[in-house]
Amino acid sequence: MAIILNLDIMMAKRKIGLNELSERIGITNANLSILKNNKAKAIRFSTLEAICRELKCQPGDILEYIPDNEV
Amino acid sequence: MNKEGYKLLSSFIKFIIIALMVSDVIIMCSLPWTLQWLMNIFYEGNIAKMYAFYMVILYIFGILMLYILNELRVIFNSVEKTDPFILKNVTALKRISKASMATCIIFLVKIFVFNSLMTMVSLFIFFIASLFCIVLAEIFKKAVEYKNDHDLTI
Repeated sequence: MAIILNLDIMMAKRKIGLNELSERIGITNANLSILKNNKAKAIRFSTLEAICRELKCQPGDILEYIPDNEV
Repeated sequence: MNKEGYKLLSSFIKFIIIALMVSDVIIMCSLPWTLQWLMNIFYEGNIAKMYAFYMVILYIFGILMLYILNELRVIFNSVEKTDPFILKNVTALKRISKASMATCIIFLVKIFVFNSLMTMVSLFIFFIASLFCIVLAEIFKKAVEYKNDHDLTI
């Protein structure tokens, strides 16, 4: 997929763990892992909003577009 | 439907499928004798020639029915245990469709050798069942795709 989620980078910057973030945004640990490992096919605006709120960042900070042929 | 009612219904359907499979096997095992007995009652003329023909037709039909029932059991088990929208069920429905079409061909052969109204009705029913299963398999395939998309939407 051409859209990459740099969630792990932002989590490292904010020094927040997977368990803590999943608790704060109200999704399961397994689902957050899917997001972190770029296995997700789509993300809900409500989830994105919660992640941005908790990590105090913009969607552009965690979402990145890389064309498929460059991956 | 409440949980108790659903449990009762699923056990009932499971029982019916297993009972049909067992009776299918019993009938197939006893076929050489029961067919002889029935033909002596209902059939007049050269029994030996028709006996061999009916034996072949009924054995193929019996095996196909066992195959269809087994696939139905697989589908029902998946409904009961996890969720029905898996690719295994799509394959099972396609197999049922193929088996129904094969049954259709058997009845078509029987129409040319020894026709009866019941054979024509059965042929029609199995043809519709085959089409029905193909359509259902395609719908299931789409449902599996939608489910996968939904599961990976966080």
